[in-house]
Amino acid sequence: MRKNLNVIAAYSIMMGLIILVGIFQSWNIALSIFNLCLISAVMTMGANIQWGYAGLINFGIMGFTALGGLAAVLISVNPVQEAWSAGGTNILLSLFLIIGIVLAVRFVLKRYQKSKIRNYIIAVIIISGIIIIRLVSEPGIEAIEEVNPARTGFLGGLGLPIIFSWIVGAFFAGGLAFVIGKVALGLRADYLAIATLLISEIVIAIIKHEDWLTRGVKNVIGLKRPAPYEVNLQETEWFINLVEKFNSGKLALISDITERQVALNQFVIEGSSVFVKLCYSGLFFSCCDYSFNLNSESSLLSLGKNDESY
Amino acid sequence: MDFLNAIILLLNYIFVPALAYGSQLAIGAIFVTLIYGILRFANFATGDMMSFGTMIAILFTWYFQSIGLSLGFLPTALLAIPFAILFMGLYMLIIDNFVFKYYRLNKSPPVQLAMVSIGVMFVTQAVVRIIIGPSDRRFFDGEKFLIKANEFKEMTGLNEGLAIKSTQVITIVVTLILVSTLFWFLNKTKTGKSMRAYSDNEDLALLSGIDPKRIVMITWMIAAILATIGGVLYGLDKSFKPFTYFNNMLPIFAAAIVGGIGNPFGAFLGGYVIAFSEILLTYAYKKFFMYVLPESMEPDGLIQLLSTDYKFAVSFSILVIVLLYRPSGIFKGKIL
Repeated sequence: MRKNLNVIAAYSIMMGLIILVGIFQSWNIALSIFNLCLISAVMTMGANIQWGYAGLINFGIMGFTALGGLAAVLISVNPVQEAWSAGGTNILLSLFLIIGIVLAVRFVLKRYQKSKIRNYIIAVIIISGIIIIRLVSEPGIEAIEEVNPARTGFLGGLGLPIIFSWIVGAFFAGGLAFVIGKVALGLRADYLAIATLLISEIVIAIIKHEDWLTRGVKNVIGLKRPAPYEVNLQETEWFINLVEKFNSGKLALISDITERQVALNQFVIEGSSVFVKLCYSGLFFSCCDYSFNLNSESSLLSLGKNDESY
Repeated sequence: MDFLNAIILLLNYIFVPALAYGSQLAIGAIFVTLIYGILRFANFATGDMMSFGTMIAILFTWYFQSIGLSLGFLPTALLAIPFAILFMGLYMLIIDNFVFKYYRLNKSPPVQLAMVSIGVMFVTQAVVRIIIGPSDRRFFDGEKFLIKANEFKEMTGLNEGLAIKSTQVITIVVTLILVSTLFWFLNKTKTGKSMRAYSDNEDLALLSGIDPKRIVMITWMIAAILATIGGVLYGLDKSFKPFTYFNNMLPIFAAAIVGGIGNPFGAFLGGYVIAFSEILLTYAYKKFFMYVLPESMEPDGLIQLLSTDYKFAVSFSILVIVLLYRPSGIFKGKIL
């Protein structure tokens, strides 16, 4: 019981602070802090499952997070047709080449006994593969990045609803986790930490520098949202009525009609961003709840700690 | 003649820079390996400890410059190094006394010490940023080039110039002196031997009357020397920016692990392995092939395996390959 009390006290202090921010600064800021807390909570629970229950330390969480962001762009942004026609075939060809290299390496690994010659063959396959991929992809990448570089200069995504990016991002992260597991799970805990950190750095370096994929370090603006945009919300009838009803007390105090209209507009602008953030809070909260359930289930499974295992 | 030009080209753009960069990495890697071998944890604060030492050296350099002290054609920073080492050693001992000692005496698992070192990393980073700020600083003075590209061209009549910066020569020479002294110390002196014994088997070393406190203190002092000199050399050759030093931690780790962690000689060579592969794989060979191949076969593209953006990724990939094929590193360190 004592432990529970501590937890309740900690959460209520935090909630109280957020509410104080809401009262003294603005509800907008308070809700942004709250949403950030929820996002961090989801990530922390992921880390907890990995490190707490399974004993596998992971310093590369931001690499996985970056893959989630990549998924959001690849799923929701509308495809850039010009870029596809300019360099799409080259990119697709290089994708097939990568798959071909992986299959070839697998074939060599399965077919031949472990030996020096096998290692050399694999090295030759990979290096020549990289050279061929560069030769194939280079004109394609240049062509893509030349298509309207100020706004696009990338391939774009599939144009699907952004909610799907959660599923696809999960698959991406799972793929990366598979690779890390294959490479590094045998290491002792502190070196597993370094290995995960380095592998996630590789992932981030690739996402940062492949401009044709997601514009690299430049922004992709106007991502679709699961919640409405503030600007659209400010023009909807029911929302304005809602805000009017909500603030009717304050509005009734103002007698002048034009002033009242100005005040209402102000309330609508503030209300819209609060409303959008509340939508996100609900979304993140359900996500939080789901991962919390996952957490308690996996604790029941009691995977046991094996951080010194080889 | 074309062949000579091609060789000079490779020397100028690959060999000399890689040798200098490799020396800087090698000093850092020996630092990591020593801490790992004797204190038994992965020190994530490596990069920031180096930046701390460099910062003190810079402050002393500025002081010496203000009172008009200089080494002539050599950079003033070399004069500041001994003073910086003293302060750095003090800082290391304070940190050890207040932070690492507790966990060492409790025999905490290495992960916990690694996490603690991350904390130290953030604190050190903050201290550096408070004292000297996050911006880019150059503190090099003295003669910039030993051989200028134009002079070399005039001297030999070749098309390609070979420019050797004095910082590169200083880096290589200082590294060689430092590393050979260190190996002499570890292999020949009584203290060095007892350090190695402690690293090999702690209990046995304690039984044979080796004082662990002394070993730990000497390790931190050597670490302070390595961190300061490594940091100053890197700063002289490129420039001092706390964030770059923090970033350098990862290739340094890669070098230490590739060489075989716990093995100083392995770490030394690991630094060069990482530096050479980073530069060899990201260099654009177009000009080289223009010299070597006949005119009809001249290449169109840059002939670059990877773009220079992936410099760091190369070292990480090498690390992954080594972990896959030879977990103990190239030169048989401890098996992780």
